[in-house]
Amino acid sequence: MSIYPLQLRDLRFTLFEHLEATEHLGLDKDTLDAFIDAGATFVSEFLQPINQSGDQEGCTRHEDGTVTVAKGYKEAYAQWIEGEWGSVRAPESMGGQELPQALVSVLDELVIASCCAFHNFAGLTRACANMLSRRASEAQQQTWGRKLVSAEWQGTMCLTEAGAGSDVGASVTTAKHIEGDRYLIQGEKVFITSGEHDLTPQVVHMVLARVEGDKPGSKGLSIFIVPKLRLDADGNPATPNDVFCAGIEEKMGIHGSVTTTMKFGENGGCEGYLIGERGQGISIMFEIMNEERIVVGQQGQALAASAYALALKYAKERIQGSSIAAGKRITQEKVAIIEHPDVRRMLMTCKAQSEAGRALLVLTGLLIDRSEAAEGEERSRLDRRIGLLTPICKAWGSETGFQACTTAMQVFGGYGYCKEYRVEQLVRDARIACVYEGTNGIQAIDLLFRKVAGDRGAALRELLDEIQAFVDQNQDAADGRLKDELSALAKHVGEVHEVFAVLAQRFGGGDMLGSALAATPFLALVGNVIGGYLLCQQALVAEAALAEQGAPADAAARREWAEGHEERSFYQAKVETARFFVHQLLSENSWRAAQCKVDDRSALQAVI
Amino acid sequence: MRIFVCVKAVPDTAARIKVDKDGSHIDPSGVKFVLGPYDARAVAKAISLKEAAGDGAEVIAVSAGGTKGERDAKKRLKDALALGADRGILIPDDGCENRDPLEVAKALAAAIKAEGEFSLVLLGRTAVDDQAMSVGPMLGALLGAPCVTDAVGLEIAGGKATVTRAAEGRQQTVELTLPAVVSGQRDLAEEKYPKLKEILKAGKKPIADFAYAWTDGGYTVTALEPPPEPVAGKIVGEGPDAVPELFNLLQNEAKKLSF
Ligand SMILES: Cc1cc2nc3c(=O)[nH]c(=O)nc-3n(C[C@H](O)[C@H](O)[C@H](O)COP(=O)(O)OP(=O)(O)OC[C@H]3O[C@@H](n4cnc5c(N)ncnc54)[C@H](O)[C@@H]3O)c2cc1C
Repeated sequence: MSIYPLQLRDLRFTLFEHLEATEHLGLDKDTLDAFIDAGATFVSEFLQPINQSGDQEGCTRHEDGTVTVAKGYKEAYAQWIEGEWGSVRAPESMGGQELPQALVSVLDELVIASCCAFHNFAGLTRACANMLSRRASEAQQQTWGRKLVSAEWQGTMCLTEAGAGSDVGASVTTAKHIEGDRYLIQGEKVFITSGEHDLTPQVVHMVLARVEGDKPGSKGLSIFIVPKLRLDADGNPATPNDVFCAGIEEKMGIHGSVTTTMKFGENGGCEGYLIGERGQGISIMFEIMNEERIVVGQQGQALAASAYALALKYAKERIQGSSIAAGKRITQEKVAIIEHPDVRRMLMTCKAQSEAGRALLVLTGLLIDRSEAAEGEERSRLDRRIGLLTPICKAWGSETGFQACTTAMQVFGGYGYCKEYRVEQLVRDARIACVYEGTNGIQAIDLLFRKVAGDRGAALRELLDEIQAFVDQNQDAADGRLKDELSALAKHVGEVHEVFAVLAQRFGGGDMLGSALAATPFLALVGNVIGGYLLCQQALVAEAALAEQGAPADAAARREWAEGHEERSFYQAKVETARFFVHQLLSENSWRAAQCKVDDRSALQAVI
Repeated sequence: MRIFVCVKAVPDTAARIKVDKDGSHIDPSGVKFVLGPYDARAVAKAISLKEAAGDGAEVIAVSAGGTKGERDAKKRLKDALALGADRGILIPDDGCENRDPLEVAKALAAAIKAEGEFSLVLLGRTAVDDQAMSVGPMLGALLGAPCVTDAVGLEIAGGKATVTRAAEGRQQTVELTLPAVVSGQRDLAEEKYPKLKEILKAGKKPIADFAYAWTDGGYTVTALEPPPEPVAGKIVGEGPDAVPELFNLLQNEAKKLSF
């Protein structure tokens, strides 16, 4: 039995029924089912049991700079390697399985929903391996890449320094050429996830540094493979490479994941190996970052899914108060709190946010798979869309995911604030997703300035036109039962057009400060419209399934017909979830649009 | 060496089982089916025997069962393939629930005989749904091969199988001349988890259909009652003072103690 019930039915619905992944991926449904089942078994057996204990114990740094992970992590990680779960994505030439990104999204949800901190070890290693498979030399791929693919060694990404956070280009870590691809690295990186620990015998850092004499700013940065231990002639980790963990952070959440300060070359003896060419550091690091931005959005989504599952279970068990339908009368009969309208509102909020997020993340995975198989104009069209969706996956996924976690916590009343009920950990674990991998503020700027203004709104218009076409085509679908929702969706599409026109003018007039003020509400605006679009698509798929099963048209009759039947109620609830999202959550867009459009400079003018 | 492993799709032991309206079948809605847990250990054992034997050894998974929905036996054969079996044989039987165990044993025996030679047939000691525990021994009789049940250890050397069995607290070691039939306990092998590569390969391994003309046999399940719902626990007090009351309740209410 799962401690954190996994949302396998909706995952399958999203993958097979909504996004029709079997057609796009060329893998048969049975194989995909077996993949999901095996993943679910793995996380239930090995990850769920260590989530709470790992949170309480955390990681321990010893005086000599070594770090011990929480109990149970080593065993779980050994199973991760043994089951070959780390190698899902990498190419076969590096020992990987070359599985589609859409499946990686499914696996990531299962893992994160069960133990987010564990995913930080595993996910980064995978992203480093994938980057090497595209950008490193053949020799580097064989020497370093293979061990990262198998997950026997840990991978890290080292950008952040005390003086270089969001402004990566301010990095002062240096590299001095020795010969060939070998350089001497010197500098200190902070906040490095998994920089030092005892899960793996070797840690391979991907470090941004500036070669002496290269330009300032991010364009002058290069990227190096910097191992904890140098290799002997047989390729085994052998001698220390002057890499030292000078401290670890005490954090609000993800206690099972270690966040380190790493000193490279304190004694002048740290060797690194250049990947690609000098000055390509940022572009190569972005291979990791783009993948990780999607992963981090998934952290928000998956934790929301777990929080929802826990809250739903609790709401069905907790008896408190009488039904408000009885008026002010205090009745004898006490009800489960799921009977209270306000509790249902909270549960539906969590359900709608986590399911919209799931659809967005699996869809983005599929787009990546389709782009890899496409060429020419089709490929650039897909890449434009992926570029547009990446900051939305990251920021909207983490923001709504975090909101859903706190909403789920509210369902528990006072018990939610107590550790025993597990949901407060999910809130703490989810909060970091809004910060790392580029803060949500930075994502909003990336969306508005680079992805939207950068191509004069072309990618955005393509998306909005697609949604409008969907609305036009389906007005009368399902006997017009979703007409109201589709009209509302179309209204909000129009709103985004209007906001974009206002912002384009502001931007065109050189008002960068005023434009930047609108970035965060603009990202929410677009994210919400996409969420509404995807859930309406799902509602139509669910309507078709309901029709096939002979569901009555009348809402009350349908509710009764579905009650007590797992499959019927699943589809019935899918339709209601789309309704709820459009009327209760997407309607936030009128406020968001007003925030963007208004000529209010108070935040800039106030003397604070 | 050729090893057959017989496997069955059974409801997940964690699933809450409801009885259908007719009172003799389970209501499958919302119930997840899995590879029988004892069968899974038998598969794991077969794979380790195959690995020890080296080249030329083959493991064939056989299942008689449904072809639709959650009961689809092909999915469970794929589980066995993902654990490392080389190929599968499906004996379709959409009326498999409450099937006469003798019929099942006959169908399995026919499918195995149709393949020619075999060294060993492995199966779980029981299927956790109907708990009949009879297919193994019947299969031994039908194949004319020696049979041992409840194995916790199994080694093969020189045309013989040495089987350790656990029975009523004592251990017994039995030597069987191959070919033989062995049904296993949970401890027959350690639990094995499928590797990702094997899961993906399993999708491409062959599963052949073997047709069997099913009859009702002489066996009908007429009623099925689920175990009673567990009753809520009760705290009777704390420390030594509570012992007499605890004793009283165990003896008189729960009737779990008698003298
Ligand atoms: C637990 C944890 C794990 C981490 N793991 C890693 C890791 O593995 N590798 C790694 O390299 N880093 C890692 N980081 C660092 C993380 O990516 C940075 O903390 C983050 O990018 C923000 O940088 P900063 O903390 O310096 O904040 P700052 O950059 O100082 O930002 C402070 C605030 O100012 C805003 N801001 C800054 N610049 C701008 C701007 N130009 N426009 C608008 N707003 C702006 C930000 O949005 C933020 O709200 C990790 C951090 C944490 C907490």
